[in-house]
Amino acid sequence: MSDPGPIVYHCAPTVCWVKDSEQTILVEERSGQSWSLCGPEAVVWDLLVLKYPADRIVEFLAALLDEPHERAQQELRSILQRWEEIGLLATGKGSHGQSGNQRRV
Amino acid sequence: MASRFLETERLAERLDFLARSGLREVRLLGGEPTLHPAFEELVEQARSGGREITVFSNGLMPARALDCLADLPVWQCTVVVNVNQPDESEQDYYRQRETIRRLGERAMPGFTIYRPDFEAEFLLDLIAATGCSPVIRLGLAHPCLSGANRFLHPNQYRAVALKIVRLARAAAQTDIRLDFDCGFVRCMFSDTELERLRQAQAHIAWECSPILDVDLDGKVIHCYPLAQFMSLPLTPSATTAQMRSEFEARTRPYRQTGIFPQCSACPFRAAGQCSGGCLAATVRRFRRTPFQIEMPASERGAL
Ligand code: SF4
Repeated sequence: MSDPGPIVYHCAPTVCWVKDSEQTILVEERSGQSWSLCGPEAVVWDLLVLKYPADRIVEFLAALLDEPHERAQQELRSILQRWEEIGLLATGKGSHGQSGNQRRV
Repeated sequence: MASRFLETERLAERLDFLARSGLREVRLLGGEPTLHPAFEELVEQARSGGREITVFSNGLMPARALDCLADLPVWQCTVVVNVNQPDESEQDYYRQRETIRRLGERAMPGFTIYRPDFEAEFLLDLIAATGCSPVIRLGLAHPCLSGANRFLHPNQYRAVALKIVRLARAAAQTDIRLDFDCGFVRCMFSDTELERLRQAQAHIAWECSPILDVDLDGKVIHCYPLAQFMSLPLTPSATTAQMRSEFEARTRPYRQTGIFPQCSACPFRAAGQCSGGCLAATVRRFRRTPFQIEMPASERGAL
């Protein structure tokens, strides 16, 4: 079976965000859709916009949640999948750069 | 760059817009509206049929514009003259003062705070000396989206609050009222300061809502600071109520927060006592940072 390659999650440039004292608010500027993040999700968002790679984010999550590395990795995966489902992120397969498989957010 | 002015024949569509919306006041602003080469013609069109006009000016207007406004009935004409602090340009201040004196009761001095060390007590003498309207229109300088203009940063609001209270109390002693423009926020005043403002009959609406300006190209904007943010076309059937609700709907996602990080959880806001300050300052807090992250696909199905 061939290796499907990494899944690349993209955040569109039309998503803007602001960090408030108790939450992070995100707005998709074209649709006006908005989301509010708190807890580990807000931490993941902070690290993503700082362009941290997945393995470093997993390290942070493991420390934050006091969980083993595997559980933290699962948590990151599930957060990213959830964000994809609600349209905050789009996915493309393969590494680096936009693919034809993306969903616009 | 050459100045652009409203074509006089395009004023009619704006007047129709106001008429459809049931409004009888026409506001002329700019830039500096009195520099329009056909200013007198615009004024005549605007006030025809008994409409009232309000002109927003820096007071450094050409003599013909001043003559035109000074000849209008007091009930029909208000000129908000935004006055500079005398120490900024004495020459400008004396010209503004002369304009206000000529306009008499038609003139209402306006003052925009854009620096924490502002001094506005001179306005009390100005009002006494010129016989203008005994009302000071007080505003905070808000940022346009680029932040290229002079504005007061929200972190400086607390610093100006004490001076505002002092001004309101001094004004009240001579029966002068302060009229507050948009974007003042509840947390810039302590409870004691707020009580002092109330005693001085100075009432602030802690609001930022669509003012609705129509620009030179016929686009309706939320307000000047948000001109580059969003606009709506001025269609032949549009009314101000429709436009306002459209802007409110489009800006709602940004209004979940405000000018400060603590706005979204603020008890004043929850109690409807503050709308979180200037929307332009709020929108400027938002960041755009596109990113991508790679996750190995092989483990995806394990979830
Ligand atoms: S909503 Fe924001 S600006 Fe208004 S009082 Fe609360 S913290 Fe201050």
